[in-house]
Amino acid sequence: MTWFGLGLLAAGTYGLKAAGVFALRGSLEQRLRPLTSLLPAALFAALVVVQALGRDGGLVLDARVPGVMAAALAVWFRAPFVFVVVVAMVVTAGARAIVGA
Amino acid sequence: MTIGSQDDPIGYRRDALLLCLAVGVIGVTFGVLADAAGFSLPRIVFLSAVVFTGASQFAAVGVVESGGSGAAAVGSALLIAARNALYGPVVAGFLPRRGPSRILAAHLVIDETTAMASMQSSPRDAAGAFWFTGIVLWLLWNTGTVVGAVLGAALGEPGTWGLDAAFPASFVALLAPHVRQTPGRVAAFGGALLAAVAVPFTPAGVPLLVASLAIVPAVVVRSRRGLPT
Repeated sequence: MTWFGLGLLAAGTYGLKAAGVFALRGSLEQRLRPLTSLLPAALFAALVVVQALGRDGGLVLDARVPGVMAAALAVWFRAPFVFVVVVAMVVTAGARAIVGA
Repeated sequence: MTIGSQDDPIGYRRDALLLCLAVGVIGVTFGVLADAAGFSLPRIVFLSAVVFTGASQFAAVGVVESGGSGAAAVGSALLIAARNALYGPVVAGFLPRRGPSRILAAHLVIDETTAMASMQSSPRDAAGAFWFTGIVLWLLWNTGTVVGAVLGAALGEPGTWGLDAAFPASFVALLAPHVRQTPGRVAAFGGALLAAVAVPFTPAGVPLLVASLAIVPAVVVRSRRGLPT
């Protein structure tokens, strides 16, 4: 990649981040809060699906799935954050060692 | 979890630090991949320090690695970064109103900072969690990147450690406070469903944008049941 391409990418990513921050100010931000307060639920759930199941433009069931399911179980039982992350990594690494997926 | 509760004011720092450490290790894998794709060290550092949005960085490097053009790399990366435009409105309310600190804050608007901030119960904790996560994450992401780029292939295949489950698992935990009430559950279920349907048919990045439409049924459910916002 050229420095020109990298500069373009940096300008574009900053522009996207800043657009959301600077577009909504003051009263508009407060009026839209009933909508924006629900965005994290929708976006983070989608992020989990994309990161746990997505690969090469499709959905696959591989060793990440048991790891993330174990994490969900740990969250259900109100386990500390560190436990949630470590249990997911251990279960996924274990599943991968067994089935090689 | 105890994040941001009144009894445990440093709760978010401990959890944010762990999140940042996990992301820092993912930064090592980014450095390894970027190095393998032929990126020079200054360019790799520029990506992590200035572009600073992980999934987009992986996409750009992936396109170049598979022989794609620079324009294709920029296009794919920007599409994946588009979700950050949706995070802005979530965090805009408790960021500094104006000036250099708001300009700097915008650079830090990514998945992790939005997640750590939006799960706090008070605006003060939200701002604190945003800045703490943003600054520590930036430092560890860049440290990890340099380590990965310098040590390169000597580190081996990161997937074997189960590291690829760490990020989605983190977001299962970060999602938890948002699904305590019915509207949040509707938004989360709808977002997950829309993303799953969109993944096979749309380029990377678009499923996240499609998922944002799930707030519509969530708002309907909330208003019908007369729940507070």
